[in-house]
Amino acid sequence: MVIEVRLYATLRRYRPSIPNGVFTADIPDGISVAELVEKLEIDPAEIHMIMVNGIGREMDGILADGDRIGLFPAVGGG
Amino acid sequence: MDKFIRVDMTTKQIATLDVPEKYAGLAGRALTSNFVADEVKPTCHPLGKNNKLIFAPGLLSGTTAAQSGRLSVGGKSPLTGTIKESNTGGTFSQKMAKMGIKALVIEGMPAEDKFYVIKIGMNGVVIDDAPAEIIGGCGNYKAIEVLNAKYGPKVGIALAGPAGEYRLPTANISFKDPEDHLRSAGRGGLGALMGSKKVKAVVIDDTGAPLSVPLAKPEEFKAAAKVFSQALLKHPVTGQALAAYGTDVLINIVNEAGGLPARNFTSGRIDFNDKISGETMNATITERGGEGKVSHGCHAGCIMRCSQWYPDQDGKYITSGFEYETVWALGADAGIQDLDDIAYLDRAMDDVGVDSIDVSVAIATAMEGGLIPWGDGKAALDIVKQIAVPTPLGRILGGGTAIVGKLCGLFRVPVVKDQAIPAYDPRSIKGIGLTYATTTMGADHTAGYAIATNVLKIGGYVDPLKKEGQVELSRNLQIATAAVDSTGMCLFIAFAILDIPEGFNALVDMINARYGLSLTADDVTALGKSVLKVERAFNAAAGFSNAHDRLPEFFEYEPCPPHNAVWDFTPEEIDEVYNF
Ligand code: SF4
Repeated sequence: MVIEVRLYATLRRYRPSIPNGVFTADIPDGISVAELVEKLEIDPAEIHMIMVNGIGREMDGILADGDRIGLFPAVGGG
Repeated sequence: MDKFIRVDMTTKQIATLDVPEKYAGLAGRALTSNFVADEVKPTCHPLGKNNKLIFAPGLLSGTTAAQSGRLSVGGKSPLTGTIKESNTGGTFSQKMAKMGIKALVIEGMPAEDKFYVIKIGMNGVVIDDAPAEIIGGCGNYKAIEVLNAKYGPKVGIALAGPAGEYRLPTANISFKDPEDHLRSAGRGGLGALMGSKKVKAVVIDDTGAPLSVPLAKPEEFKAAAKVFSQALLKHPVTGQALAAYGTDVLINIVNEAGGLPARNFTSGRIDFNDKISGETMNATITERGGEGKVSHGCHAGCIMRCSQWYPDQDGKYITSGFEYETVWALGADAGIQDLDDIAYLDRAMDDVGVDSIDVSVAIATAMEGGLIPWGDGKAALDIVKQIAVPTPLGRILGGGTAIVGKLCGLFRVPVVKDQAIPAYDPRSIKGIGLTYATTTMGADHTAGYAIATNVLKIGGYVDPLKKEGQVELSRNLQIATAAVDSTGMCLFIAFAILDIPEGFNALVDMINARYGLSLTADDVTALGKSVLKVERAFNAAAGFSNAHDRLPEFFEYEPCPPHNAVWDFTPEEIDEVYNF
């Protein structure tokens, strides 16, 4: 299945060739966010917020075809 | 012995008094709000002679504690008609505190049509005529130069810009920062109140003042201050992220969450987010170099440094304090896709002295109303500059979002109590909607920043799209914020102290060591509650009821994509927020 990954803030350094951090990935059906993160070779300790289709999720969330996955380190503002 | 300075602009009498007994333990917002509640007639006209303006440093201002240099400014708001506390950085608060000035009150109103400068020094207070060249449309950047030249480069300055002179409802009070740039007590039109008193500027010179305020228990203070700054440095948000990306990092987060109000609140997501994001701001500043700085503190002693200097293509400074809310309003809400255009607008709003949230949202509203084309940054800059003249259109824009919406005949006008709703859609992020609706200040995200817990997963997590837990979240955050706003601390310390208990304890310990008290965490909560109760009682006496604690109706029947959420709290549920 194909999903869209969006890396933000410091996580973008994991894909230096993609300045806006947005890319698609072809991944096995039904894998979790944690498994995706492992495939992308991102240190899970750096991930603080996960959004799947704009909804806050945890590492154990199961992904579906066409999902939009936003990954963020701990950041804040206001 | 701390002093209470009162300047009567009717008689030009100055009184330097002992601090009234009842205000002895209060500072910052607790002091400004109690004072306004005690002395300002709730039904007075905000621009009439019975309103009063008060400046007060926080409990910890003037100490070496990190982040303690924020100032509270209070009065009855010319924008909302409610009580108002507006909070700012700059150099003013630390100077007041070191000089032992607990509060500065400006009251009365001159009969003559002439502007003044109030000059405060260790030897007393004088009222000078304002220099002619800074009256009648002179920008704030230039006015700071003129006042520095006249009073010395090290003085602190509070300034009513052209908008304040014209008594426009969005006029802010601008404060000089450590590098002669501007910070603002932005919201609620307190610059118009200052202008109505014919005070163009307050200049404060702390030459001869002690370097620090007295401490009841210096050793304990030092130890607590160390634990406190360690907590700030340890938390990833206050220790790293704020400095790296500034508050504009929120563009991508809130956009991803589907809560970034777009095109006058008709959607919760944009596709040009990366043109205006904090990541792009950081990269642009780094790449351009020159005078640009990725991180900068708005007052001495800020270690979180969320501010920055944003330069033009040649590396020349354009603006600082370039905040997410401003970038959101002009970018997502008004559709201006060029960060440089937005930076020039931010500078122009600072220069003319208006709240960059209310006026930026008003620009989007003016676009919806057909006054200028959607997304046209140049047209927006032109009408902001008209405020300095002021042309009729400039005056209308300076009236703020509520007035522009009314004059354009719109129903989709994002305000509560006539103050513009900022950068987070209350349909998709419900906790912040309760804060907008119920805060004593008119729509204000900082009054109870539910985004922390609804989106950023700080201080726990409450699902932003569900109603469960939001009433308690907004209530508890509003109480905590009222307390933090009384300490002189930048509110962003909340990110660390919500997650790191020692940080919160150290904050209480610092207050105790400064004053020789033995407050507990419960006392701090009690202080926050008492401030909110005092403010709410003032608003009730000014004519506000629960029926004013409501969001604009369109949120109830216009779904917000991508989640297609609507605002679904009942009036009874909303009223529970202030049931404490
Ligand atoms: S973190 Fe930002 S707002 Fe807070 S004191 Fe520092 S520069 Fe000012």
